[in-house]
Amino acid sequence: MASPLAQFEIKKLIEMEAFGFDLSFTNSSLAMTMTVFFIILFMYIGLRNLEIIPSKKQSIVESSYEFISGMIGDNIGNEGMKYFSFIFTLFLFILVGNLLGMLPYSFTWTSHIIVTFAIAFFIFIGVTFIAIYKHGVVKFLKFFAPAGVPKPMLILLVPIEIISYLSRPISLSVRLFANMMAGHTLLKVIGGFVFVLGANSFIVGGILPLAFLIALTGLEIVIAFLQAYVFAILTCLYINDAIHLH
Amino acid sequence: MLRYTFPFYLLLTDTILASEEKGGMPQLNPESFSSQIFWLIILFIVLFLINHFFFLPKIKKIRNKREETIQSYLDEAKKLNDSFNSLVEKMNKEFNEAKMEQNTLIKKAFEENKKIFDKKILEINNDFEEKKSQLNSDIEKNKELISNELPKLCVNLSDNLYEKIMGEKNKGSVSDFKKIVGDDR
Repeated sequence: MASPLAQFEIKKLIEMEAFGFDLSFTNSSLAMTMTVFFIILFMYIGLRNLEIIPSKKQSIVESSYEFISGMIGDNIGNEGMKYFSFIFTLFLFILVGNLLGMLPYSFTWTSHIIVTFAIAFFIFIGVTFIAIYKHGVVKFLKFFAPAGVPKPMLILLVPIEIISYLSRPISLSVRLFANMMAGHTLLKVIGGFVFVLGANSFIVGGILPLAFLIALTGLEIVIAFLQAYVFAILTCLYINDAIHLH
Repeated sequence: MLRYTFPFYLLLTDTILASEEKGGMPQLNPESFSSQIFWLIILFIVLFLINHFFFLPKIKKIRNKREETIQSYLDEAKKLNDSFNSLVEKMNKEFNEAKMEQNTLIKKAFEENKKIFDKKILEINNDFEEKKSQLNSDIEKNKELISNELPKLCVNLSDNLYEKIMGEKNKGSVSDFKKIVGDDR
């Protein structure tokens, strides 16, 4: 039987290379393309016939808009609306990526650390850039030395603050990647149990793990949404920190 | 057949078809990193640009339009309400004015009518008194006339009766009659 990790393997579909880098179109890229395609389809269907009194399709798209604008309004405030397009795209991109990964035989590109880390790292760079651009380098560096702390404490506190700041992209990316990978591995393992136990006990033995598998699939769908939400909301919080620098 | 019918067949990983097993996590294999990052950047930017320049302005526009429509309806309703209130106020004012005017008119008409009525009553009374006094005087006059004429008529009557009964003429005088009756006037 295949390893539970075999589902994460990258297969080259179209081989490409440029400047010595391997830029092949892989199953991961295809899953990502499908994600983009489905988001565009979702938006296109919802916004085909715009009405002041929205149709069901339009109100689904609008409610996703409202959801993100509410998230930004709560966590950043009105200044955050500049980053609306980015957070909206990010949320939908991860959400649809996670949900498409739940389809049998598909590929979950969010279960690859390099992808989630790349996203988190770009957010980290962007957020740092916003903070420096808005407040200048000195004020940004003061961010690591909170006001009102006794000087001897700073020796301890500043490195902790810097480490916690630098670990943001790691925690952000590992959270998503680990959740998705663990979930899918677990599903695969339980799926193996269904097969093995069912085959060895005239199907009867497979019933319990199958029920468990179905329940876990439901849970995974919830996690797919939750992780996209957490990713988007943490991005909001980081942007908020960059804009307001507590 | 599943491979050909399933719409996501290209997404197939060969977990089912895997013939060889590899150890470790495929996620940590750096061979695929460059292509994954490359396609992530490309696709994310494409999606971002489409959202930013095409879909989101559409949503923003329709939401603004909706807000404007609702606001314009609210404004219109407020305006209508205001005009309704001012109309009601105006109507009440006019009603009150009309009521006051009506009261004064009624009062005036009543007084005028009363005056005419009193005058008429007075006239009628005067007329009546005049007629009464005239009638009284007439009655008195007739009474007097009757009382003057009565002895003469009585004498004539008695003469006639006498003639009928006795068959001869008699000539009575008023003074005799008066003497008999006892009225010596």
